[in-house]
Amino acid sequence: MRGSMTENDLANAVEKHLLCEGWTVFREVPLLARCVDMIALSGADEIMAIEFKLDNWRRAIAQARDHTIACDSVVICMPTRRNSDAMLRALDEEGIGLFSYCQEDDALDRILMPRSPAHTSPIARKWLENAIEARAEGGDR
Amino acid sequence: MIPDEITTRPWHLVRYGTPAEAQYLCDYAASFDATVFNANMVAHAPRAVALFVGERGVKPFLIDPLTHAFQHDPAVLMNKDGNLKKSIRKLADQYGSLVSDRAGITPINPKDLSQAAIEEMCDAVMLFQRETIVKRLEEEGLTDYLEFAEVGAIARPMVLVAPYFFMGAQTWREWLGLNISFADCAADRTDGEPLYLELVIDQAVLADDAATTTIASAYAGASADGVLVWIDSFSEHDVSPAALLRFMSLVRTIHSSGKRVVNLHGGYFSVSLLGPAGGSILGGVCHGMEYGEDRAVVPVGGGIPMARYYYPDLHRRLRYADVLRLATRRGYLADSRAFHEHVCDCPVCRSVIDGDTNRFAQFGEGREVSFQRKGQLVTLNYPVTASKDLCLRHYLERKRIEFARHISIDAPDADSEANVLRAVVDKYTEDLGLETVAYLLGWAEAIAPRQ
Repeated sequence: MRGSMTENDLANAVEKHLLCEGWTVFREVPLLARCVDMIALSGADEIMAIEFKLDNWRRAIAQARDHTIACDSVVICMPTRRNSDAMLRALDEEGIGLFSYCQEDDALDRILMPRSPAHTSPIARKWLENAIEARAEGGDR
Repeated sequence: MIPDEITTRPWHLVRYGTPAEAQYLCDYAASFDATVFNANMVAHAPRAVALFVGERGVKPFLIDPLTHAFQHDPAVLMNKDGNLKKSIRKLADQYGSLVSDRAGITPINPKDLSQAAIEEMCDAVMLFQRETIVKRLEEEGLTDYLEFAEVGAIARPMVLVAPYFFMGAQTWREWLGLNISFADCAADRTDGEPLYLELVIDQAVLADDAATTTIASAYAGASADGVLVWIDSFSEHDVSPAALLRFMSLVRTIHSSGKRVVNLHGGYFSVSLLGPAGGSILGGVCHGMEYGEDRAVVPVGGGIPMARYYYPDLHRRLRYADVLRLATRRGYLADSRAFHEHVCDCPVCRSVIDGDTNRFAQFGEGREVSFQRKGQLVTLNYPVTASKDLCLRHYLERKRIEFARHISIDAPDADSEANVLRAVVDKYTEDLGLETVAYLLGWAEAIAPRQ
């Protein structure tokens, strides 16, 4: 199934799920010199960053790691696959979560829950909040 | 002429890139020794350069004649409309009939340089350096209140630079003899002014031991007081330790002939060669405003600096976001004491932080810019002017500190400098990865090889 799905399809599907769960979602949010694929805000002002990848989990983790500086939690989201021990170990070491999306069943599974990042920066957090605020004011999600 | 106060000490040179940079050169005049102008800038904006020299430039200067510009495919000299860049056209018109006739049409080749052509070009290039700024100052009425000797001291370059051509790995044999002929010709035309040669070569030449030895010997024996070295795109952060050693060997050979050797595009590694850590084989290093620690020979001129924060321990500019991540991870933004102890305690950083590390944000303030790249929307954060200004001032402070460290009475020797560099690698490898910091090991190995 993965062959027919793009990262954008994956993000669209997950966005739908998160909206149903009550999250507020923003796409392509700039954070310092990078861009977060998706930011999800809970009612409790928790900021979750989600990085989407169809494969290449190492690259996904490298990008997700950069987002930990400003977010309460960071996850990578990939299509359902056999998750290798190396990948799960690497995610666990970084405190990054793993979401898995099954296109056939239109199901979003939380495989690994993220932990709060050990090192966050008030400066980066402020930048991200400003970027989210600008998106919200512009009505641009 | 070279002012007495800098005759014997190593030079800290700063390149004047654009008139917009003049203010920084004035503000930091006390921290460097002389200014370097590119000849195309002098030809294109003589008034701005003359006013800088006459009114604000309290520093001696030299002009890189950029004669190599006319040996390349004219395509590299064109603007985006396909016309010869104005600054190059104006320069070509000052350099005699051969250059003026060929510029933008066909490149100058070795066979074009007869003795008569060499002499004509040499006359024109020397005259341009000697007189362009003086003439402009006279036109502006700024020499009226100066004595004749003062005009010379202020408005004439401290050294003259002979015309020169770039030497590639396949072409150095053709150009070397001509470059030495230009040196001899220029030496005959000096009027007591110090004469410098410019040695501009491809990195690949350095990889050829025989070529490097022959070229170094030829420049060591040439009739000149010093040599300005420019290795094409020679990034001290990227080249191999072996390339650094070959660069040092080239410099050492010329230095041992008694000539001052200046790296026209150098970073911290070159600065360390000014002092005991590098055997004092270099007699000067030039850099630009944040950019210019390495430079490609073509395209000629141009280059827009991007604001980055110069990370002192690593001796390189990093993207603000990367500095923020690194400093956060290591706890250096926990309080101002930690920041100044571990990141930077220069006057600019002390003034910005002012007891509150949240103010570090001022180095990275930006505006969002979105554009399409490979069909995808990319959003980047471009620094605002105030951030660029702070990053540049911080950079200039750090350069002042780096030069002072290596030319002071208690400058480190090779072993202690290498130990410092290796300690920095140990400190940052876990966060940045060995690949990111390995160049520091290369520098350490070049100046103090482990037995």
